[in-house]
Amino acid sequence: MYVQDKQTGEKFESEIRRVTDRELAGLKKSTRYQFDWTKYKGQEVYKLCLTGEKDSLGLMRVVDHPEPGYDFLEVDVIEISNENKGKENGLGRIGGCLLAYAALLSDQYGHDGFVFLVAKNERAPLFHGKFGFQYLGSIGVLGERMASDTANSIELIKTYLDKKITDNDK
Amino acid sequence: MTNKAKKENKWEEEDISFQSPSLTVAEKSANWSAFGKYRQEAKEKVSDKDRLRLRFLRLKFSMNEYLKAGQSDYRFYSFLGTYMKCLNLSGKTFAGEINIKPSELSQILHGRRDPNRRIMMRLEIHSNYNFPARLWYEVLAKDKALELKYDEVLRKTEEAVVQPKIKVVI
Repeated sequence: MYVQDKQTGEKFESEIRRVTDRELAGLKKSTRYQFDWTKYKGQEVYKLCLTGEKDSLGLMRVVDHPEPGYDFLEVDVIEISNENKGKENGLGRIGGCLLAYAALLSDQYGHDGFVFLVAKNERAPLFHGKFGFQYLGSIGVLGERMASDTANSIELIKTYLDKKITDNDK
Repeated sequence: MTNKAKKENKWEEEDISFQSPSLTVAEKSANWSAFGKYRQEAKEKVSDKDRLRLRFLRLKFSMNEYLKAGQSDYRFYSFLGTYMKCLNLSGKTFAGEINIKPSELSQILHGRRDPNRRIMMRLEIHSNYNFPARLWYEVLAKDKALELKYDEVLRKTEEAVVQPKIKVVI
């Protein structure tokens, strides 16, 4: 798993770790994120970091829904750190690595890789076009219900988690 | 094409930062039900092959994470056990498929014997090249490296017989 400098193309090994409550508390004064992550204390939050580094490049909160009739993993919040937003700034592949990790978790929890989320209307085409999520129906101004099924989750994991720095881009 | 255009061509927008919308209890329930309905309908369509692909990708990811870890409870034999579990194979059947004695496999699975190069090559072939011999070898080498790192007894014993020690520190 790696991230890539958008300017130079240089690749860096990365890893995903569970975020501790202490780390979440530390984000209160951070200018690197816009969302209030302190409200997710005690919940399932993950961070993507460069291997061996503490600072996160992106954060994701997931919610498991094992109840009969549900049986899926929900991605509730994702945020890319400010310095890595935009087409030319910082490091790329952060969102893809986080989504692929959600797909992996979904399989680990017994949901066959099914991942659901409600995307903002303006972000929905990105989830669909770049990350293969399917549209499940609009909920008006609140957003779009979207899903990654087993086949798409496999592709996400292959593209973002299984690829190594030494692999060819193609 | 200008340099700027080239860069823009290379990196598409990929900022997927979002927070799920604030919903009432009823709206949340409707949302999850919609996801659950889709999930239940899609469940029937998930093929056994795709389920296995997901499990294999998860196992491969764990093995690669182990190679980066400073400490871990996993070992070669636990990954091999998971591989067999993915395929629902008994020890006897699996030993037959890779043409070794069940007792030899049992010793490997209990960490009492190291697999040789031939067995690692057979694991690669058995997995249809999804798990290269190199990866199995690296996992075994990591086992050995961790054992050496934390073997204080051996360190003390061997310190007593090495004389003199080089005085330079790098």
